[in-house]
Amino acid sequence: MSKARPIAFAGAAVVLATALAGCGILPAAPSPEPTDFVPSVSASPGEENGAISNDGFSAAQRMTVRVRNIGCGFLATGSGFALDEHTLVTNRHVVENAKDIEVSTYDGRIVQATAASATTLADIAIVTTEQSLGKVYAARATEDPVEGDVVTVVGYPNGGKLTTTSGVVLGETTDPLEAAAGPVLASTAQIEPGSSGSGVFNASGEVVGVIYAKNKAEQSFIVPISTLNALLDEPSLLIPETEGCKS
Amino acid sequence: MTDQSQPDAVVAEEPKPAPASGKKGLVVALVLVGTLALALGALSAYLWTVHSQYVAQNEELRAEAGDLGADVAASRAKAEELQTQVEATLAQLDEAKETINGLANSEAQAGDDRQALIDVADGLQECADLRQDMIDHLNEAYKWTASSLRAREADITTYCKKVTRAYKEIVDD
Repeated sequence: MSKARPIAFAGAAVVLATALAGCGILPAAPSPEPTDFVPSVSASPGEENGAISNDGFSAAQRMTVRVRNIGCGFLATGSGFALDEHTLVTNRHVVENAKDIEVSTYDGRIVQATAASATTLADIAIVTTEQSLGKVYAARATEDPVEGDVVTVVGYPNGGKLTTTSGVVLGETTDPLEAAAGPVLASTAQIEPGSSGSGVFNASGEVVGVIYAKNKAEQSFIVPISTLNALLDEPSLLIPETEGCKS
Repeated sequence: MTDQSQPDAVVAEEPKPAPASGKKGLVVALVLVGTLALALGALSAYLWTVHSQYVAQNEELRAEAGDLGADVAASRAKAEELQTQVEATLAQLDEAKETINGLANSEAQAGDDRQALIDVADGLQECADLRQDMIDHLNEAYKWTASSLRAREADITTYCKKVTRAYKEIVDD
């Protein structure tokens, strides 16, 4: 065998090896084309926080009711909010001495109350109804608001239109009417007669209290949610209201 | 005397053929060139194939991009149109909400007025009953003292004026 062949083979091998090594820098064939260029939608517009309700009213507005106390020779109005389809919360003084209680929903339906019960520990009353109050109910917070918290009050001031107003919690205080057993909260939210029983909502839309009074300095007073939660957890503290008109 | 034998005549080796270095070099060169040519051929074929695939895919992607661009333009135009419609709908919704609130309030006020009128009607009925009672008393005035009759009449008049005032307040509202 001549020496030429090994040299030639070696040379060829070197060339092939070089060529193969060079393959590393050669462009690869294009990857397959995607079949769909449109990304899938991750969320429905209706699921976003800013989604509007079907009638433009917020949940807080839809759960708020106007309470009409038909007494003997007098008529009084207040506000309240739905706890469930047939139960609402308002103030004791709104339903006191009632011969009859009628409830108006935000969309103008009149619902007849079947019973009312109240407590002497706070200005709170629970009213039940036969017909439905609607499908939106209060989500109760587990903690009271603290000084500086912004709150929203939804109710029927002066027995008029459904109104939403905001204010800031000023802190805990004693009941200016000296009727409540526990502490109450003061706030800057502007209220009027007729606002009594209005739900007080935090930024998350949870109920954090119930409006029940105001003073000359235009401060409003709130029964804190902890008191309402305690009353609802202990139904024996709620005593059925007797019909007024004892003449 | 020994003959020194004559050494054999040196047989001269046959001259080896001269190394064919030129020929070998040629072979090596040919093999290398051949291999190189094959490698270059394979490389060219590969590059041509890949190039063709890229060109084809580029054309498809351009076409797809063109379609998607047209879709995006149409979607943007539709989104702008829908945004305008949403704003108009929200304005209408606000108006409808205000109307619902107003109607609900009117209904509530009407309910209050109706209830107040029922109270006044009851009061007027009571007033009429009391006056009839007064007439009955006057028909038998001899049974009562004049002062008691006057006191009774004053009470009834006060009550009836109060009811009348309540009625006027409702009417004036």
